[in-house]
Amino acid sequence: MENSVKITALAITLNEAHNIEGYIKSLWFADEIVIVDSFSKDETVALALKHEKVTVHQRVFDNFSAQKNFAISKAKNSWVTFFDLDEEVTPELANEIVETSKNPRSVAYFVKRDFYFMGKRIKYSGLQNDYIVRFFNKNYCNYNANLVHETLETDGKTENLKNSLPHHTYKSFDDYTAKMHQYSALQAKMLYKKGRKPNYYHFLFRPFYRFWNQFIFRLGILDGKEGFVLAYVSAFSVFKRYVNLWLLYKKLN
Amino acid sequence: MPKLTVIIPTFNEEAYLEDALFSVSFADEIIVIDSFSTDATPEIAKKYATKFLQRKFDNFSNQKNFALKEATGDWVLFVDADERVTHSLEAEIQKVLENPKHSGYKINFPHFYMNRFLYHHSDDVLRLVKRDSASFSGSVHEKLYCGGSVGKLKNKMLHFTYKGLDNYISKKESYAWFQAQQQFEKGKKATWFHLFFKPAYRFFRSFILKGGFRDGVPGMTVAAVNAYGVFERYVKLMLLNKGLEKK
Repeated sequence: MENSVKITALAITLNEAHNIEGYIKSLWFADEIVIVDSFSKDETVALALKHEKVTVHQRVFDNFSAQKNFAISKAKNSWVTFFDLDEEVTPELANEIVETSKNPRSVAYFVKRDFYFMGKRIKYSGLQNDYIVRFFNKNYCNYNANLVHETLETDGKTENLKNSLPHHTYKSFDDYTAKMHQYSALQAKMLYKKGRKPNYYHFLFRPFYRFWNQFIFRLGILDGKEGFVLAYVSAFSVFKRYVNLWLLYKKLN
Repeated sequence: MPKLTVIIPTFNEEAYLEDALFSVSFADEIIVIDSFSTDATPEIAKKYATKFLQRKFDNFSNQKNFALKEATGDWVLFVDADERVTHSLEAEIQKVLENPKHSGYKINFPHFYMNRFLYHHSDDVLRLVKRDSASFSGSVHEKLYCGGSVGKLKNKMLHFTYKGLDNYISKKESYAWFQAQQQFEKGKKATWFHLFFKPAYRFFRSFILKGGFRDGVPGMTVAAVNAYGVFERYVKLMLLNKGLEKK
C-alpha cells in the first residue's frame, strides 16, 4: 500500500446512529474520514467520534449539493470517496478502490449500484445503468446546484469500477412510499415556483407514460411482480406530483 | 315519541368529534365507543356524551355491536366523528320516528373532498335502525342489518373525509395492511390478476361508471387513490406471503 495515494472518505449524515458504525468499519481503507452532520438528534456524532480517523463537522442542511461541496472542502487529501450511508461498501469494492488508487488514470470512477426492492434484486426497470461517481479526485470535481438530484460534475477522464455497490434504500414498503410521497410534494413545489400549471395531459398521460416506460421500454416486466409494483408506485408518484401542484394553485392542503 | 340513541365510534378524533357531538345533541342518548385514543378524544367525549365506553379494537362489527348492547333507545343512529347531522336531517329523523314505516332507514352521503361535494361519489348507507333487531356483521366491510324493511331519508349526511391529500393516502395505506392481513389469513396469494386488473377496475368503476370524471380533478384523485389503495392491499399481501414485512 506504500505506493497508493491517501484517501479521504466523505459522508453527510442526519440521524444515522443505526448505520454509522458499520459504515465507518467498511471504510477501513481510508486514511481520513470526514463526516458533515446536519445536527442529528440521535447518537450519530458520538458514535462516529469513537473512531480515531474520524472528524465531524456540523452544518445546517440547506441542500445536498451545498452540503456535499462543504464536505469536499474539508478533505485533506485530493482523492476522496463519497458513499451514502445506505450503500454497502463491500470488501471487494474496497480492495478495487485501493488497487485503483495506486495508479489512477482517470479523475473520477463510477460504481454500479444494485437496488433491492421487496427482498429482490431489481435488474431491469430502468436500473440497468445506475452508475454513479463514488471515488474521485476533488480537484477536478464538484457537485452542481440541483436541489433534488445533485450530480457530480467532472472535468477529465472517467472510468467504471468492476465491483458493484448494494444500495439498501428500500427499508420497508411503507418507508419507500413515504419517501416517494415526500419527493412528489417537493417536485410539485419546484414546478409551482417555475409557474407551471397542471393540465389533463399531466394527470392522465404522464403517469401512464411513466408506467409504460419503466415496465415495458425499460424491461421492468423481466423483474416480475416486483417490477410491476415498482412501476406502479412510480406512476402513482407522478400522478400525485400533479395533484399536489393543482392543490398549490387552489391554496388547499 | 320513541327514544333515539346515537352511537359514535372513535379513534384519535379530537379535531372532529366536538362538532359531531353538537350536531347530534337532539338525541336522547349519545354513546361514544372509543378504541383507546391517545389524543384528547376521551376528554371531549366525556364532556358531551351520555356514555363513554372504551374497548380494544378488533374489527368494526364487534366494536359497534358492543356499543349497541349498551344502548337504551328504541332507535339507534350511527354517526362517525367526521360526519355531521344537518338541521334538516335532524328534523326529518324526528318526523320519521313519530310514525316509522320501516325498521331501518338509509341516509345518502355526498363526499366532501378538496373543498367541494362530489355528487358522483355518493352512497346510500343504512344508519338509522330499530334497536331490538339491529346488528353488524362482516369483519372487513361491516354491514348493518335491521331485520325488516328499509326506507330512505331525503336529507343528506355531511361527511368530511378529506383532511389533506397525505392524510387520505396514508389512511388507504394503513387500511391496505388490514385488508391484506385478512386475505392472508384466508390463505390468499397475490396474483398478477390482483395487482394488474383489480386496481385498474377500481379506477374505471370510480372514474367512468360512477361518473367521477364529472367531478374534475378531485373526482379523478378519488378514483386514482382508491385504485392505489387496492393496489397496495395486494402488494402488502405479497409481502405477507413472502414473510418479509408486517404492519
